[in-house]
Amino acid sequence: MSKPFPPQVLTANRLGAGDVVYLAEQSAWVPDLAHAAVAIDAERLATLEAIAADAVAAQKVVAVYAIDVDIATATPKPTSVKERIRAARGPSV
Amino acid sequence: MYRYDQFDHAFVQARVAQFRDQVARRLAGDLTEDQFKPLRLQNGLYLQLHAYMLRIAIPYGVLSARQMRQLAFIARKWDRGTGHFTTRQNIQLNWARLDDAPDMLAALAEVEMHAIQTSGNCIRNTTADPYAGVAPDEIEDPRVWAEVIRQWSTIHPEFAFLPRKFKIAVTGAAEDRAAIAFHDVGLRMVKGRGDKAGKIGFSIYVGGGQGRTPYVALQLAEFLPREHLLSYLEAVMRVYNLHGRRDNLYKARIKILVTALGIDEFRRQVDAEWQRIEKPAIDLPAAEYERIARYFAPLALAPQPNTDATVGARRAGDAGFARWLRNNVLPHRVAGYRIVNISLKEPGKVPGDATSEQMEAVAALAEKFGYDEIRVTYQQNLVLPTVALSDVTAVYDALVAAGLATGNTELITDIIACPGLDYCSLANARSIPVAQAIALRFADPAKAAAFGPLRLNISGCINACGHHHSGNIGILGVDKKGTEHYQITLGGSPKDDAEIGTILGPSFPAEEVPDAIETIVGVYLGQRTNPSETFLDAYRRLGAKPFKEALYGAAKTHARPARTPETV
Repeated sequence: MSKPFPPQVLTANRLGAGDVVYLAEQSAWVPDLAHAAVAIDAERLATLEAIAADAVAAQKVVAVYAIDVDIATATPKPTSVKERIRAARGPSV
Repeated sequence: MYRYDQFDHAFVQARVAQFRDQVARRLAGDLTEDQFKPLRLQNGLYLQLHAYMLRIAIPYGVLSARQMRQLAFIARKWDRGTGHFTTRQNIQLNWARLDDAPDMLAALAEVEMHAIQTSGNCIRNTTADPYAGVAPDEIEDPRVWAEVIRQWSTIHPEFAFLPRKFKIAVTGAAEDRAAIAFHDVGLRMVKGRGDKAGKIGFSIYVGGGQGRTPYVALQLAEFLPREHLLSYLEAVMRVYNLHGRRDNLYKARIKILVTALGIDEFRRQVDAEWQRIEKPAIDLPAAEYERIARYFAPLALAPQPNTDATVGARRAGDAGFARWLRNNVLPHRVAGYRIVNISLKEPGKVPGDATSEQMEAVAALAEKFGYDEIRVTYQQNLVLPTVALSDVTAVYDALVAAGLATGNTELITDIIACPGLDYCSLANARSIPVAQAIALRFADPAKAAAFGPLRLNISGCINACGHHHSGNIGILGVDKKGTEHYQITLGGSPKDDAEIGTILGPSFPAEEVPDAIETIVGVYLGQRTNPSETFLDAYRRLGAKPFKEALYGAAKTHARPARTPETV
């Protein structure tokens, strides 16, 4: 039996500013993870990755990767400490 | 200090123009990230957890007041008004923008600074004794040779693409304050003996380092006449460049090569290469050495009385001043002067951080009382290397006003910590909050003083930027099933008695680390033979056993499932 697909969102940094962003609906890149588009299956993730590839090619963002999120709460929350710190847009101290 | 000549100015400005063009081409889409990344890294620009980070080179940790003011200006204008001094005597700005980076580099060039070779597989910024030129135990000023190495290694075409990064440290004093045993090459200036009596040369160490495979460097040459330093370094680099592993990132440092070959075979190969080298073509001509040395000529200081009534009276009536004087102020080679350490380790603050205002305050002190000299230490503190004893109280008062008068140099709260997972994309765990929690636990100056000199180092991953292997107490952050845990080592030392710490046992979750440290220092206090026996001496006498028993002897709280801190 295959493992269930973990919910994921795509994150990157804006090319010029370097700040952390997440891919939202309508191909928008937003700073707030709460507004990110969540992929709950591989097909949706592939669609988001194609959108992200276009954004990389258009010099909007850099260093795109997918992160696992917990969607049991009202807004998606990263499962890793690293991504929670990153989503907070600053150090924890 | 060294001043750029016409060539230096032209070179640095050309690099700024070149990078400005590269950034423009990247933003326009003419360069892909794969093409651009090595170019930005060659100019010290990383992409970190939250943003771009600019690592600025501070050659051998030496700054003028004007340079410090410019760093403050750059941090305020293009960052968030804070800089982080690193364990490589450099400074990092954590919130740079790519589109601002060329302007930041141009501002650095105005004050003879840059970010070249602060990244990549090249020879990095050479580090040195922060008390160079002023320490009473100094044989010869190592800054001259650090500058010689800087000039030789900057864009050296043969060594621009080494198997891995390469770090050199140099000391000219009897006491090693540059951690030379934990560098790829460590240089110690020594007086010759026997037929070399009256000469000064280098004792050369190779293959030290921390990271996932820590080693204490081994002696490669007992005495190398100083005039042959560059040709000998060239031979070392050639052997490494030829035989260092490029197939495995984790086995690419020179320490792995030295270990694989054995020091005797490595030395044989270096000597053979050195014999082949046409030394006069590489070694520094005496006239050029003299030209560079003149930039580091000792200040013309007239010796003064070594006591001062004002300082004495203040010490008698002000406990904070007395503590600062005892811990942070050291003898100078000239009577009546002092070396003043400026701690960036106020308990509760981020170790190594200074605001723009604090940088400007230090610059002002250097101008008014410090002969325009500032040093950065690998312990992430600052130094005014020359202050008249009669000015020490005024310096202290200004430091108090700037929030920089913590009197804890070399004490348990003088914690060396990497940025950790709060900033670094390589980290597994946070360093800063753990450092803060420990420092606050021992914030009572009397409590910290009771432990005497004690190095406590924290790294957020095995790359060991916080030098945890060489801490008397070392703390390594690890990822344990998705939670931050911390492994404790004891017995490390970065000094003349260099040693790698030994892992004590299972790791602890973050919230239990301060208790664990308190337990460890409690064992030390209870078992030391007398107050002059340091923590490290006591550990070496006692071994790990009593510390292990105290931490793990009973069913300790660390055994329960860890919880992730709720702050993120």
